[in-house]
Amino acid sequence: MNAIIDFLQPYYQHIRFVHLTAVMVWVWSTSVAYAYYLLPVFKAWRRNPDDQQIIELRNWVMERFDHGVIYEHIAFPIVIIAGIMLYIVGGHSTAENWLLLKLAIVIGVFIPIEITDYYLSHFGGNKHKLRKAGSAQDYERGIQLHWWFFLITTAVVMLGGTAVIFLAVVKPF
Amino acid sequence: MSPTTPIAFSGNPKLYRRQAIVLSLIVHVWIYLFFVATKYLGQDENWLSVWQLPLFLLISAVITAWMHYRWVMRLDAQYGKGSGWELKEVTVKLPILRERR
Repeated sequence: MNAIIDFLQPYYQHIRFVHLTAVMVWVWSTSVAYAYYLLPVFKAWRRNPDDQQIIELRNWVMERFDHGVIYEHIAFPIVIIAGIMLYIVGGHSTAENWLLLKLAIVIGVFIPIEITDYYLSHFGGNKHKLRKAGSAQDYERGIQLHWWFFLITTAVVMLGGTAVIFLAVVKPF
Repeated sequence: MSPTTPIAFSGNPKLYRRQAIVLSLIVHVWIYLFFVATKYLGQDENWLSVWQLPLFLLISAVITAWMHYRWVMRLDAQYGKGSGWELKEVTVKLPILRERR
């Protein structure tokens, strides 16, 4: 462990740069697509659930969003790996309360959310794959499951994400 | 694939309120347990007797649950006038991603 610390020590600021850049990509890369493309269409669908034109647009937006979230999902592992490196090299410890609170949010909230998001966007819940599989019912269930995911996680991500960035920058206690 | 068969979405305000409360409680209990356990194991400090932490987390849990509920209701088009959007019938051809070979 000491050899790793000695090797990485001169690069602490570089690792910090990678960590912060990845955090920015992770937090903001989907924001415009989500707020101004996905949400208006899904709201229109919720108000007009039987409108086939809206359903067609909703499905298209959802499939494009599944694809566009790739940036976020490449950035997240980089955030975690660089974060672990910073913890080891920077001489941090559990004595720092701001860091403990941040770790609690990242481990308990963001890692489970991202694992679910990986599944919904790229693996079993990927809408393009569900469409190719040919079952309209499974496809609709996949879309609705992803909408449930957005409903449950949006506020948590916004509040938790702001809290994590505030704790990391201000270090209030 | 044939046009999607409408399946009624199962979300409703009562369910959203219950979810907001349960989710907020789970997250805050987790933060408390993680914090207290890590302090005990890592620093040999007993935070069980510190009353400020649970009080802070309780206030945070109530605010978070309330905000979460309001947020979901707006997301799911249950609240709000929606006056920023018009619903006009328009037909467009949507580009579909070509399969990679």
